[in-house]
Amino acid sequence: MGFLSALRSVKIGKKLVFMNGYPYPFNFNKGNSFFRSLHTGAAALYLFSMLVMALIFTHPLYLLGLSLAIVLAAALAGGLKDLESFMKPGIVMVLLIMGINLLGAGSGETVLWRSPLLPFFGRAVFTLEALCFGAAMGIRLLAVLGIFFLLNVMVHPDRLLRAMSLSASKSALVVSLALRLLPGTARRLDGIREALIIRGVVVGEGRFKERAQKYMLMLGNLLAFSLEDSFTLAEAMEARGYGGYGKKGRSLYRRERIRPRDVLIGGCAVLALLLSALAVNTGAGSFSYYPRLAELVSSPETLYFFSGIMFFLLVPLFVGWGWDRWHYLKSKI
Amino acid sequence: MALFEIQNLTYFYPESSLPALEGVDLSVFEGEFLLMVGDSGSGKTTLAKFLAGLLLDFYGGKIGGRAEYRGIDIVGDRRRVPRGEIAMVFQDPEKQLMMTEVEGEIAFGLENLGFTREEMGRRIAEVMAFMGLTAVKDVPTFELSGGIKQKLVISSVLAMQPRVLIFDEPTSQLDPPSAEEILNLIKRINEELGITVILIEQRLERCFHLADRVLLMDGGKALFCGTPREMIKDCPKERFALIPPVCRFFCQLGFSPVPLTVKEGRRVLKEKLGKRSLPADAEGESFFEGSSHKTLYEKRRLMELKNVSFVYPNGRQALEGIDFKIGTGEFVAVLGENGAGKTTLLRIMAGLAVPGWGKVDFHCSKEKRAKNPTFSFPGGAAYLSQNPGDYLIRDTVEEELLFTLKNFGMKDDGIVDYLLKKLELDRCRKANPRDLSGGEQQRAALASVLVLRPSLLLLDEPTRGLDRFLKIELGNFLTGLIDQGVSVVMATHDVEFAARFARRAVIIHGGEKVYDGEAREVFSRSLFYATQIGKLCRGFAEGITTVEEALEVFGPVIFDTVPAKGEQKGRE
Repeated sequence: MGFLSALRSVKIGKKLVFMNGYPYPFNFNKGNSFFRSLHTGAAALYLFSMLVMALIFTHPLYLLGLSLAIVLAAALAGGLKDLESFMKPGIVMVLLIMGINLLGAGSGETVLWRSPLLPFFGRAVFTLEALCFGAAMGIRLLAVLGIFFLLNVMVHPDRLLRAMSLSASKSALVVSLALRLLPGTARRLDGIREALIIRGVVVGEGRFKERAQKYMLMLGNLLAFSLEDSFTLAEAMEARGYGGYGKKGRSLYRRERIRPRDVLIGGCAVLALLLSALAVNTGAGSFSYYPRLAELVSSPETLYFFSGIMFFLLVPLFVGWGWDRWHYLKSKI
Repeated sequence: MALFEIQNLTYFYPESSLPALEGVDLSVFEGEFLLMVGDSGSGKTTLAKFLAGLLLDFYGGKIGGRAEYRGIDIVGDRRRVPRGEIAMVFQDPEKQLMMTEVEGEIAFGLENLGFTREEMGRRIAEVMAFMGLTAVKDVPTFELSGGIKQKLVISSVLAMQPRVLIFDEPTSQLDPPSAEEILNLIKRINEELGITVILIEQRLERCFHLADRVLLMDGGKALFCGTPREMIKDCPKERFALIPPVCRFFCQLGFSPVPLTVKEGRRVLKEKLGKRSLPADAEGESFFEGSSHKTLYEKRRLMELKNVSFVYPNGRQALEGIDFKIGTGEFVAVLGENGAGKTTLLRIMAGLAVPGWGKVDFHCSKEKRAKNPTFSFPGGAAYLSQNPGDYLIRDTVEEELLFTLKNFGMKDDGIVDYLLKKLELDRCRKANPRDLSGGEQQRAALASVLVLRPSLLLLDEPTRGLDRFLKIELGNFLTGLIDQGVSVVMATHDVEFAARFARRAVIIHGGEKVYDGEAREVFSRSLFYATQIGKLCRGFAEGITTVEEALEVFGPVIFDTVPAKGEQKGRE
């Protein structure tokens, strides 16, 4: 479970399912250690190339291939179950997109069904092309969500923030503090909720107005705590020399090495990106949905580019898979 | 030349007419270990923050007098002190960590000081090795235990290589073994690295002997400053309770010099006793007598836990197969390291958590059970968590009590006045609970649940952050409740407090109950949970846990061998 999904688990007034004031699940620590050992730049480049592909391709074959790579990467990183829960809201959105597209587009020559005359809408026409286009856009959306999930699994938030702090150090620190304080705040919220229960206030029960009043009690107390804690935190920061850096300025600690595996993954990402650009440029990565669905494989180039891109996307995953199994590979890269 | 030279320092917090510091004169020398002691609100933390340069920048206020750090005027121009030379570690590590990565946390201070990457790498490696943090290098900071978190905070300031390190009760949130480890590290930092250490601590039995000098604060004034032995000799009578039990014991017997540690004390005791034997009834048996906890709970059973197990959603087994019975009028101390399952046990007893396996029978009351999913109802169980602040949500202390009554549809039949007087909150009944001191906040939170007249009171770390005098007040209040038939179950790390007031002890280890019996047995005989006097007397006379008991047993025997002056003083 990632930070976002952890945040979602904080249901005011209900039992906290994940946090409950106790050890906080952290995606980054799970699964294959290969991804954790990657240089932030290499991992980010790999994910960036995936993101670009998700945005530029309209061809369903390419989008499906990309989705396969994302699922495999999530499985290797030990987050397949979390990916599932992360994707659930996305799947609802995809169905919604497909539905709206099907209802609203009306284009396409292959009519699946014509509705009776409806007030305001007239006669809705459901076409195979609109259905397929909606599905492709849905896969694209899921792919983008999956890439952000992978970012959460593969790149340590501190390292990402450190990379961020090269250009925006204060913003990076604020984000880091927010992430660090999230589990503590959730614990606090749970403590306040329990204290209220002991004193006869069951948060989440009653009419809307009562519930709102109870929530306000909790949030008011939480706010007071947060203000007090932020004061202590600020003192602790100043006690460690934060602020007023003088001429020397604040430096940045980064001890990330670029290893052969980073070059390999970075290289694959760049090559996959180049091939993608070429595929789109030559039209091999594009697909025509309207007025009638084009052939899935209209030319051999479509397959060549697809194979090349998939090769460069899957090589890092194969190396990651082998990393935990073959000591020789681990020692060499 | 002194590192800090302070003369007649007086400080007022903004909008306060009472001085937080008044005419303080103090010299702190390079490389020394200064221990600051005193009651809550005596000005220890204020002075420490002033020395660390955090007072005027953060709080403002009015200041007078002179204070210099290595010749730099720190009242007038604090910014001339090189950054990172004076560092401070606070009570709660949870509120001091900034990063999710161990190395990143240590690097934070170094980054602020603008060190090069190579220099930072070297310092981080050194400090991690010195503090023994290498094994947790890859563990996210929020998954570390309390003791390791505090170690990490200390590491992050130590990496800055400060000249002065100030600690404000760094062990107050930790269990005894972790606290011991932190204090040993502080000692090493002082002895091996030569860093000047200023330590504020409440539980002096663990650190009194480490100090070169002790500063006693009271009402913002520096009452006394001298070596630990000078302090024992010259300590004002009303502050005598501040002195660790072993020192108090020997001091009251008139020994000079007074032993400062258990080791020294046992040596002296052995010498003095020689081949003399204690009277048979003094060798512990008399102190084991009294009503056993079994007879108590069998007399009138209040709550019974049968084979209770609890697993958190993340898979952590917090409790396993707990059988636990409690009768009316019992005072039970639940002991165990952090994460052992003490809090979970209390939460289950309060009905806040439902056991995955097993049963909780509350043979309480004929009173009507309120619409509350827990055992919290009039005459039921009241639970006070580690954070009394969680309970303070109204604008005045009085409203806090009325709020609970209102929620249970009860009327104030005089209980509010009674509790406010009994808990000495009468004078602040109209004050905002958040403006009260830590001890007052704790009493206000306690009062807010006591209005329900519970038959079972569950307290989680009730002495955390309280000074010795407040603890005694709390203990006496709880004893009063016991006399009225209320049962108290208290999870605690404070063995001195538990030994003085609890009659039954339960030890939880790894979620399992490993001991349930006489408190005296644990506090006199166990390795870590014994009181300082228990450790001193072990082998000479068993079952002794407090200074008073030790004086009763050893006094008559030792008076024959110590000087007459000592005899006189001891008898006083």
